[in-house]
Parts: sequence; structure tokens; C-alpha cells
Amino acid sequence: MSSIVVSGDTSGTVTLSAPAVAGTTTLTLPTLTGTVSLATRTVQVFTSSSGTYTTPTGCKAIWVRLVGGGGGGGASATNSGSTGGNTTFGTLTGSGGAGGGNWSGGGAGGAASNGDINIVGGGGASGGTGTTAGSIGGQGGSSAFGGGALGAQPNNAGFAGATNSGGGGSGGNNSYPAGASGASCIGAGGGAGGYVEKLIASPSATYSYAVGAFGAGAAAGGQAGGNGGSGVIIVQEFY
Amino acid sequence: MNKYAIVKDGVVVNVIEYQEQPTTPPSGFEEGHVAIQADHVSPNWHYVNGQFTDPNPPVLVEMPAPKSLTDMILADPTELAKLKQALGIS
Repeated sequence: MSSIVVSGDTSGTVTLSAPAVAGTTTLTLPTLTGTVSLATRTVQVFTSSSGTYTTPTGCKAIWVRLVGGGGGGGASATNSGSTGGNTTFGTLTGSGGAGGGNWSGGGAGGAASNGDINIVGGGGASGGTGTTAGSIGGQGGSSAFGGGALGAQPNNAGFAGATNSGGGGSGGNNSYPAGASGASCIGAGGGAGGYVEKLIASPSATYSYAVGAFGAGAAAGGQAGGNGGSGVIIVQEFY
Repeated sequence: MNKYAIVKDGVVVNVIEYQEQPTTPPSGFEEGHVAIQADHVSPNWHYVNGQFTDPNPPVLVEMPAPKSLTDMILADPTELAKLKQALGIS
């Protein structure tokens, strides 16, 4: 293996070595003034709270993905779920999904803005009255990360959306089991949080951020709704 | 971990989870924002005199009481004929 050893101006050396393999390869250096760095990458994940993100020293670009909090599921009667909190990173915003109502349409998915990719959260499934015996409760909407809660079985409270997925909670289910009869009603699912993705070249020194909380499931009224899934921010840093 | 409403000028601008009561203003927010612990609250709600209120409350719908078979027959006598037919009674 052949090598070239370059001595530093004051001390130290750098050794450039050709690989010990057959064939001829060419390494072309960029026609720019600067420092060639080895490809390294770090990641920071924020699952709650708010604060100020500081771009690490030497970081050339960051890839930000975030999702708003999922809406809570509606109760089978009387109460609606809460809307999830908004997740923000600088101007990037993934809004929280709306809470599901009782007997009504599912909660709308949260909006998304200012990213390279902006995906509105999935809507929750509708609730209703006079539903057929054995009906499944309104499912929570799924975000780009998934996480929407499954519909509840008859006479059960709604389920929670997956933690930090931004998925919606499902509605409470007051329907009668299959084969039984009587009046029944089911709560609607909460909407999912909006998803934003952006590659930021030459990032600023700092960014304000906030992770949207989950929307609370509606208190019973009949059977309670499930909580939504809280939001998240994932920042990959390239050097 | 608790949920806190981030309130500015009497309006909930966000809802965030913190391990403990955050500072005023919370980290990452400008002056004028206050964090108030609340479980069932949504962005855009109002905060007045220590109470959170929904400016657009959902319309409550009365669930109709189920009708008895007798009520259905009295309301529409053709229901009796349908019942007889279903039971095989002429």
C-alpha cells in the first residue's frame, strides 16, 4: 500500500493511503475553499416541553421532522375530546388534531405548514347514535407516524393514541354487544396532528421549539374517550 | 408530567407537557406568555378569571328516547301488520 505523508506547519502529520486493492480509482476534490469533513451525524429527539434548540458547533445542515399532538376521543355521550397542542420548531408548525365529538363527525386532522413536506393529520372516525349492536367505536386518526387508536369494543372506553405519534384517541363506545338490543351511541375519534418535514441547510444558531401535548379524551358521559398521542420533534444534524 | 396551557392575553395559544411548573414566560416563549396547569383544555380557548372556556362549545344534541313497540304501533298502525307478517301471524 502506497502512502503520502503530509507534515503539518508546526507539528503532526496527515497520511493519505491508497487502498490495497486492484484497479484504478480517482478522488476529485471540490473546487471550493473549505474543510473536507468526514460524514458524521447526530440526532436529538424532543418528546415534551418547550425551549431553545442550539445548533451544534460545526453542524452544516439539520433535517427536522415533527408532528402535532393528537386529539382526544369523544365520550359516547355529553363530552367532546380536547384538541392536541401545536408542535413548533422555528416557523415549522404541526398543529394539533381536533377532539372527537359525541355522536358527531370525527375530529379533523391538524394542519401543517412551512416544511418541504406538509401532511395534514388524518381525521378521526365518526361516532353516532342508534348504532347497530356490536358497533366499534370511532377510531383515532393516524398521523404520518401512524399511531391512531383502535376503535373500542362495545361498552368500553376509548383507547389512547400511541405516545409521541400524534395519533388521535378513539371514542367511547356505549353500543350494545352483538345480539343485544337497545339504544346505543358511540363517540368519535380524535384527529391526528399535522406532520412537517424540512431540510435546513446553513441553519441558524438557535430555534424556539415546543412539543404539543396530547388532547385529553372526553370524560364520561357514557364511556370516556381515549387520550391522543403527544407530539414529537426529531432533529438530525449533519456535519 | 403535567399538561399546561400556554396563555397570552387571555387566549390559550398552545398546550404542552412539562415535568414541573415552567418559568414565566416558559422557555422558548416570549414575554407575556404564562403556563397554567390544565388537563382538559384546547388551543384557542379563553382564560378569564381563572376559568377556561370554549369560545365555540359543541352543540349538545338530545338523544331521542327509544320507542317502545306499543308506541310505534300506535304511531303507525301499519307497523302491526309488519310485525304480524314477521311473526307469521296472519
